Amino acid sequence: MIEDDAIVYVIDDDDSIRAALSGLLRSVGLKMVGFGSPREFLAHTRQNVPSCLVLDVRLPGASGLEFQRELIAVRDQIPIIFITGHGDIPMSVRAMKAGAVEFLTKPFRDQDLLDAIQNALASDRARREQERSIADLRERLASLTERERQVMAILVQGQLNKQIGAALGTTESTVKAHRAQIMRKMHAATLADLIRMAGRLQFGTEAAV
Amino acid sequence: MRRLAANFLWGSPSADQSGRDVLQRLTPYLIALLLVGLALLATAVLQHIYVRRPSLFPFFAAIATAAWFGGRGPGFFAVAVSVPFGLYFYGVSRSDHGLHGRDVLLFVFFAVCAFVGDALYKHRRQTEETLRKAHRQLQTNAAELQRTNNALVAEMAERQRTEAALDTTRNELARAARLTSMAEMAASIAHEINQPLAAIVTNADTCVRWLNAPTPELDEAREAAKRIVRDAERAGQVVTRIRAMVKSVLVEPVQVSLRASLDEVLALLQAEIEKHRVTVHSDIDPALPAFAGDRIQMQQVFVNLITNAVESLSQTIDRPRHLWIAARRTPEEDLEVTFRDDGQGFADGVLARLFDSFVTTKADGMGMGLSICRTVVQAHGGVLVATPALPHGAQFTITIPLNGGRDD
Ligand SMILES: Nc1ncnc2c1ncn2[C@@H]1O[C@H](COP(=O)(O)OP(=O)(O)OP(=O)(O)O)[C@@H](O)[C@H]1O
Ligand SMILES: [Mg+2]
Repeated sequence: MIEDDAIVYVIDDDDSIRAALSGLLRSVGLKMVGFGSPREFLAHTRQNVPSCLVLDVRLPGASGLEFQRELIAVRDQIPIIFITGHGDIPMSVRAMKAGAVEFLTKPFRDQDLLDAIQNALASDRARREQERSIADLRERLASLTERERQVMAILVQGQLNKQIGAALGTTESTVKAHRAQIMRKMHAATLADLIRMAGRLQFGTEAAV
Repeated sequence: MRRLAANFLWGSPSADQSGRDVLQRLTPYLIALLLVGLALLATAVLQHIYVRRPSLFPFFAAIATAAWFGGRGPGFFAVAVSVPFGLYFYGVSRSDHGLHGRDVLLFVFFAVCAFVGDALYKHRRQTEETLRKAHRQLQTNAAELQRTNNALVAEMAERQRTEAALDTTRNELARAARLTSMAEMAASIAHEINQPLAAIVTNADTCVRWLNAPTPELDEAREAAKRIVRDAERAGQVVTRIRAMVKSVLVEPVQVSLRASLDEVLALLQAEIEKHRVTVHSDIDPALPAFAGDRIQMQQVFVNLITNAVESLSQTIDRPRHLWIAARRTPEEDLEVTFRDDGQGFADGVLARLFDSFVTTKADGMGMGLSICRTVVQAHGGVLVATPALPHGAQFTITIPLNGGRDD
């Protein structure tokens, strides 16, 4: 199993459960950090790496479900896997509706938990990837000059160089030069690439100015 | 028209009664007329017998009576009618005319009679009124009394109903309390044991993983195995704790007299037993020694067994209902108590699971009775056995060692 430095967080007030989970995750080469309560977890400064949270439903103080709600409220998007002593179906349905990845009843099969963790990490990784590439695109877009941005706005609507020139009051060859700059700065190989990027940045809509 | 006239005359507000009112008011006048007529007759008769002196006493009497009977109005009416007759008689006897002074005197006498009669009339009316008032008062008092009585009866019925309802509520509450505390305890025990169990499963899986690795990691596998041992010990502690808890329910054993505790239970269940017309035959060896145990808990066992028997017998309608309770000392120095009924016997398939918790064939049963019984008897170092009775019914036998049976 090839792993980046992903981290699995575990919140369970039971020491032996935490110890057992730590052993299991180590056996598959996953890094785990355990907490006895949600408070401890919140006090911890998390690393900016793909991660997921294994959360016991029955916790001292707030229940796991309440804590899930709290995390959603502060837009913390860490994927959650619930583990519970009592397989309460309405409760699990609620948790899943609120976006939990999995709901496992103790005792669970190791493979079920590991699969759930892999799924959770994969989705967190994808989310991060997405966020990072968007941030990247924003940076590239920011490096364009005002004029280049104007050209790009019309370009991604599928207009020809001649038309763009007419619209902006310049020659076709100037547009061509701008276009080459744009493609280079945005790291776009083809026009289709550029249009896709504009879509992800929602550039076409706001850049009509 | 007549009614209208009557209303006008007597001012009766009720049109329906005005006819009767008129008659009622006229009656004293008619009576006055009749009395004066009688006086006239009497005077005429007397005149013929004694001849010379005319007597006006019948008229006085008639006027006074008319006034006494009808008050001032009829009194003066009688006076008015009498005056001409009185004058006539005087006139006849004296055979001269013009004694006007006497006429006035006569009228005055008559009037006095009328006033006297009227005074008597008023007095009579007052007495009557008082009497009527007293009577009415009496009637209201009687009605009041009746009402109070009714209210009391209703209140008593209400109280009985309330008490019955309270009884039911109390029973239900006790049952609910037993159930919730048991459900809670079961949930908490389940959680307590499930935690180490979950850890054990995970550790065992991990251990296998390390061992199955291309190059087995023995140290890691050993660590996982050690965690398994630790968690299993923890689970064991939970079980020990529960055991201790169950045991602590048993208070220090005291010397218990079987006969006395059974008698108490029978007295307690008396109403229930009588209600279902069950005849109890008890045959308890008088030479039975006391045994060491928890009196209250043993009594709980008796209550459960007798209640079950009575419940089964209450379904039996085609024969008399009997419950036999026997206690003896066996040759093995055991105390043996049997409860046998000739009720419905065990339902199909129940016998094997009889003592399990929550096994019941009753709509409102909880299926805890016998499970509790067996726990208590076992805690006393004894056994509880169920056997079908012949030709019908069920039998439960408690066997408890008499000397120092409790060795656990
Ligand atoms: N004397 C008896 N005759 C026939 N069946 C019996 C008798 N005693 C017990 N049983 C059967 O055993 C079952 C279990 O009895 P148990 O006393 O444990 O529970 P229950 O009487 O049903 O409910 P509860 O918890 O209210 O006592 C009964 O439902 C009944 O079917
Ligand atoms: Mg019972």
